[in-house]
Amino acid sequence: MIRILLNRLWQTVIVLFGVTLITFLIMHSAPGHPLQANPELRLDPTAVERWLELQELDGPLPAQYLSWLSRLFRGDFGMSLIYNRPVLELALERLPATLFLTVPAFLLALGLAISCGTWAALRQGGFGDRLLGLGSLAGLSLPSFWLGIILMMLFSYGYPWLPAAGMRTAEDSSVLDILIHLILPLTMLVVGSFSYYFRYVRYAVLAVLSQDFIKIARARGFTELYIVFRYVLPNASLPIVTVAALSLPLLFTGALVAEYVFSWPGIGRWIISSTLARDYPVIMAVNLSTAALVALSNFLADLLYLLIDPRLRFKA
Amino acid sequence: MLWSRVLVLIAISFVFLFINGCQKSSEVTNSQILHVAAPASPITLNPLFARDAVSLEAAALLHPQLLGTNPYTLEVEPRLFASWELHADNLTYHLRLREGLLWSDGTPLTADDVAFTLLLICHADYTGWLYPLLRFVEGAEEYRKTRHSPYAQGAIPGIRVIDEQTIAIRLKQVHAPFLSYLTFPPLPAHKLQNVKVADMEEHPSLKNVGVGAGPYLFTSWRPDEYLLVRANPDYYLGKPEIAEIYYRIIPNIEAQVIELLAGKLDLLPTAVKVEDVEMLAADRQIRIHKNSRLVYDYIAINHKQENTPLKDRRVRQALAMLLEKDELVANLLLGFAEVLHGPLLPLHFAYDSEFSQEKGSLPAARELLLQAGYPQFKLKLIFNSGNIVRENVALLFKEQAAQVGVDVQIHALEWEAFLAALTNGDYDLAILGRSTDADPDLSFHWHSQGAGNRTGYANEQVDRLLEAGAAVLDRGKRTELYRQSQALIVADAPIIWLYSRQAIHAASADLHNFAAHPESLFYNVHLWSLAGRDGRP
Amino acid sequence: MVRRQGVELYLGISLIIFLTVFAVLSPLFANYDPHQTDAERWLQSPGKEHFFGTDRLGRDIYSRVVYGARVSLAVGILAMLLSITVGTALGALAGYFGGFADQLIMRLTDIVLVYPTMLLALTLVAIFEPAIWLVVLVIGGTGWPAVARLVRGEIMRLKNLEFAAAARMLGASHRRVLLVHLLPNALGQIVVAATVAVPAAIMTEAGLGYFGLGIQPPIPTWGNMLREAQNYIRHAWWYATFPGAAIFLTVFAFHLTGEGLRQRLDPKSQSGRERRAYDH
Repeated sequence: MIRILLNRLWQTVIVLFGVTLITFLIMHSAPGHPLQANPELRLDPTAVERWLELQELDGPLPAQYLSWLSRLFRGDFGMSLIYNRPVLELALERLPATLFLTVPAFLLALGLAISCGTWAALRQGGFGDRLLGLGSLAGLSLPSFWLGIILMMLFSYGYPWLPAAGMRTAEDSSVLDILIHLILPLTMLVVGSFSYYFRYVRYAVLAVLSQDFIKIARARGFTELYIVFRYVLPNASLPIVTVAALSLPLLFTGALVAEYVFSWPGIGRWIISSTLARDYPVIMAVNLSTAALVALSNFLADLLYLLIDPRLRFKA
Repeated sequence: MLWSRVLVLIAISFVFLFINGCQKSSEVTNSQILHVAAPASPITLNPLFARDAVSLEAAALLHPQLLGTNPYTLEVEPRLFASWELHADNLTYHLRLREGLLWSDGTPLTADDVAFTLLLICHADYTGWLYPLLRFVEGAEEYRKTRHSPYAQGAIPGIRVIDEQTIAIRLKQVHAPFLSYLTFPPLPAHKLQNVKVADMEEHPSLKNVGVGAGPYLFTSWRPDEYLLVRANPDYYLGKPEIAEIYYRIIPNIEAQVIELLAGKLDLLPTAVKVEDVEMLAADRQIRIHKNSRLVYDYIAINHKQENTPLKDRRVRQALAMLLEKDELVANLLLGFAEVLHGPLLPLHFAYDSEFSQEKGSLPAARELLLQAGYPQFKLKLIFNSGNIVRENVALLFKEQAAQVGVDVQIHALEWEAFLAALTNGDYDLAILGRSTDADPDLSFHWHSQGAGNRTGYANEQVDRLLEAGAAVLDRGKRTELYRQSQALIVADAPIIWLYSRQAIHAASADLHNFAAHPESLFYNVHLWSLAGRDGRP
Repeated sequence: MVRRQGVELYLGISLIIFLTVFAVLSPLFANYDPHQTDAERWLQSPGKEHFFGTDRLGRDIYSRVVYGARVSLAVGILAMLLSITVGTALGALAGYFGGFADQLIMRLTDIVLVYPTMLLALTLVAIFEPAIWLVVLVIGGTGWPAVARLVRGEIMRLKNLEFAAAARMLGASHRRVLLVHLLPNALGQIVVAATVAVPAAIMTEAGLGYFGLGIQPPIPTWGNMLREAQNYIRHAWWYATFPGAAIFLTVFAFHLTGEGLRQRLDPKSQSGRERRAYDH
């Protein structure tokens, strides 16, 4: 088991290293300098030049990579070209809003998916199962930005029940106010993630249901509910945990779009505007840290697998 | 098992949130808060480093101008400087601050603060955009070149503090527009004189503006979300009526209008879509305000490439004739713009309302092209995608040009790609916008040495006229000189002038005394009030 | 289970055929030039003259949606071909030879897989200026690892079966074993992967267009039409509704087909771990 673990750890390290290298190379193949002098603003060209010098954009490539890497290890992700402040600081300022949106969305989508997925699997081939199956396919096919626009059109304008933008009406807004602002972006996120989780959960539960011990349990006359909670879900939890861990990129992309559409003051919107403005240090840091986060969560999922699944534990 | 735990977790967190929500506290009732929409987050609140429109506007809430301009005539007006006099040499200005000016921490605001600010702007490490405005101050250029210390210290011969209230500024040559440049605010010397100039842009005291002197004082700022400011009781023009301004960042312009209609915003400044005006004006809760601005859109002509027909003046003149600008403004901008034929804007005192380009006529344009020997050629027209007005200008221009034998290929470019194409000269024509000075001095864009002269326009006669225009103080003479330069510039057809769009603001009907300045939204913010709302529960 | 089979497949395939016909023959169906502006008739609601109404510049939305189908399908299919080709080649090599080659290729796929596709696509397009070929390259270039994993797994399974070993013993070259014996047997899986790669590419392209980094106007694409439309959702419901519905319908058609094929190939369905490969 230790060997498998070390092997996976080693692989993760390689992936992380590759991610830094690729991110760095992508950024350095960028043609020209960022911060094109903008004719619609009145920039002093000499100031722009001096300012670029301050950013230390010059130097030989490998040396730059190494110094960038060593700064990364010290937690220095560089300075935003637009805000002229540390990227990490800018990201941390926006993290709470993003968590406030994504964590409930994640829990809600997963909770719904687990209940619906189990229910559908138990009635495999039935009307409800087929409806949910088609529905989740449709959910996967919905462009989230379009869904957001339609939601805003319907529930902020057509029926002006819900706010169209932001996180709070006033600085001292009640949490209720924030929750009301949360509804539309949350819905947007949940629809996509639910469809995704639902399909996995259903497959996972189906796989468990086809096992012999379920047939035995049924033969022993246990109630359906008891079987589900005592046998099915614990056994299906492994693939579900994996999927949950692996869905991080999906959740991330979802948040990007939801924050952009509903002017949510989180990391996603900042990333979009930084990308559009070619704020290279920000783009670099964000690509790097999300990729690293995903790699680590993959590793954690593997770890969980090892810890939970006895077969794997003894194989090594 | 898992999902039941999840449910419990969700339930617990909701209970927690609701308990939290009950502790709502509020000192200021909603009726005294003005909710203003901003299309983007301010990047900095430091007025000397702000480069983008939102930052400049937000900074204007927190920092008072040294001098201002009249919103209708653009004549220089007193602000922090109550009075000034120009000595007989026409070079030395004595500027006097008002009595009893205070920073919000109680420290007096004096001529030393002003001198400190001027030194800061002229310092070699200063990275903002204001320095070119001070380059005519005697010794400023030398000071910027030498860099004795990393701090804004030392002396510029042309800047002299006379007493607590008075500062003298001497120019190295007569420069008529000079006073109109002093519209930036001073920074508190007692807080910042021990900060290196290179660190000034990131200095926290300018992010959270601990000390200010503007109509409002900093309360809190959540980047990308809001900026909250409170009325400054010691503001030199009197405490503002509205207790707090909640500047809410909503990039989505449709969402802005939806929030205004829902009563959650009181003011959408500057960029209300022309298509919305009629509908919003019909709403009794909403009032539409508009004003002219010092900006215009134009088509830039790249004549720097080799072998381009655009080098020929007749070709450029022909292109300038193609568009029916009046129709364009009527159909596309629904009339909320001024057709433009030359570089002087209606707000400028030197503006000539009689002045117009030759009326657009396709046969005349065709004739000019034939004379120039270019019966047929191709041009690449670029504009930034997402700007539907410019897209339509491009499409119309292509259509018209096709009729005189010019094949215009239009390329919409994403913003940064667009800027890159401009920088690299990878275009023949480009639709752009620009802003101009309050003073009609055209040197910035049209003098061959002008800092904003990107097209490389050079006409010796124009240079001489512009230099003469800045060197005389008499308004009549200046008007004449600038009109002459305008005629010369337009005859060269260096760009195609299109229109100057108005700023359209939508405000709640409760907002009184709102009036925007062509250059600043909040110039009289201390007079605004939400009077109608007091009686409401 | 048996009863279920096919419904999705037939529905999906007929939708795809329907959409393809529209896209290919768009000049026949579009009753207006998609670029023709009309200063008098902007933002007109759907009616007899303009089935889907007009946009802010008076262009016919129906014609633009129909033309947009060309761009979207072309980008989707080209990107799919790219990711299938690269993915199959690398996956087959990794699965067949194992060892160091496998390690190398799989780490590479891991590295690409940990980037959220949309973010990477945004980044790349932002850096190298948006253009059609780049959008295809970026979407295809980020989509191949999923295919590679799938093919690798399939090849590893197949190569241990008797027929492959027999072919090898009879003196067939590696190339022959791979191309003639193994890959054709993995074809089913590859086709499923292909039907899922197309909608993913279409979605990414639309997303890039929505953020303003896709194919630039005035070329109509569903994504950039939505971008324009989002500023007029109060004036014209039809502006955003129809391009979005077109994306939905197309993506849905491919998902249905993919699902139908999957059921046919493997009625028992796979467990979550392997399925990850093509649902990104």
